[in-house]
Amino acid sequence: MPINPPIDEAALDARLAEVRNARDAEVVRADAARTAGTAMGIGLRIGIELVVGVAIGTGGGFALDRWLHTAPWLMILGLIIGFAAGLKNVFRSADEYGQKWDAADAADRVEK
Amino acid sequence: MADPLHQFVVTKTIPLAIGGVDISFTNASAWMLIVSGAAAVLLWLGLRKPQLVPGRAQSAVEMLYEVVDETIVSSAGPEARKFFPLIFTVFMFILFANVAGLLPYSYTVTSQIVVTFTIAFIAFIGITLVGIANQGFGFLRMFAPPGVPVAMYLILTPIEIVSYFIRPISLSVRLFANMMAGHVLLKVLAGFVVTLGIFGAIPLLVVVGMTALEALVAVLQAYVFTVLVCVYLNDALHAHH
Repeated sequence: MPINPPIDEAALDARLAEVRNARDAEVVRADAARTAGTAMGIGLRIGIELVVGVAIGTGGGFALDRWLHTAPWLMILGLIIGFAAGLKNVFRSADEYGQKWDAADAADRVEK
Repeated sequence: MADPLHQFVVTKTIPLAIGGVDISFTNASAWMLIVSGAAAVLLWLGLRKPQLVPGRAQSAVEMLYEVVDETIVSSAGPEARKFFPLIFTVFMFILFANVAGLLPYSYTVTSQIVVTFTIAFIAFIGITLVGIANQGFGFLRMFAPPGVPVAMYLILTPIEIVSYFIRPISLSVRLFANMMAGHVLLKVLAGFVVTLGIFGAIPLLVVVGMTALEALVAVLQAYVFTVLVCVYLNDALHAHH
């Protein structure tokens, strides 16, 4: 019966870390390719950002107006800032997907 | 026609009040318990006798685990894994609540903004604390993006701050609005099936298709919520570039 060789824990840990890192890198790459496919997910995600930005900006401005008796100026300001903030969130997520798509394209080109 | 909003009414199953505070056990509380229980039972079944070649329940649990793990790693990096338990819990709760909402006579807890906002708010506060713990006051630099003229900060900083603070709101509104709108639409269209008589076959077909779409939306929304929590976590863990 073969006797198990003494286990070199450090080597085992190093090997484990190596496999884990390889897997994590693979996950990031696979995700880049997969994200490009879920257009519906992106649509669901981005659509609401703008609406909420405008609604919260305007609502917040309106509430401040009622409180400080400055109607309608803070509401107008809130509308503009809310719109900009909503747009900023939309751009941010669009930019993120753009980067992932670029990464997926780059990975494809390397494979070919 | 039946009231399409009737399905969202919270009714008190066990009325209860302590010190004037209404803490009744409602149908919503009951369904929250049911979906948490269902998720727990699935996990327990899948992990009861773990095997190298997984059975059905174990496969399901492993797939759910991998989806969340891959989402975390790809959106927030491997060091975000330490938040796996919370993110997995959120994902499982929303997934089960959304899918359970498709069952007849069930109650969709995620169609209540108070539920979705509570989850989003917990994530938002947690992520902000993680950001401060990780980057200290450098976290505030997020509100002042570099590389613009000083005068622009007067406009940019309020916009950045607002766009940061609407995150939990857009996160919760997205989930609640999708679940509520889908269920209302289904109910309205189903109402036409009865009132249109023989022509009711047309809305019936649409309802069948809509149900399939709602099943997709239920799963997708749980996923989108999880992805966004991870994306926000990414901001907190890694300094802005």
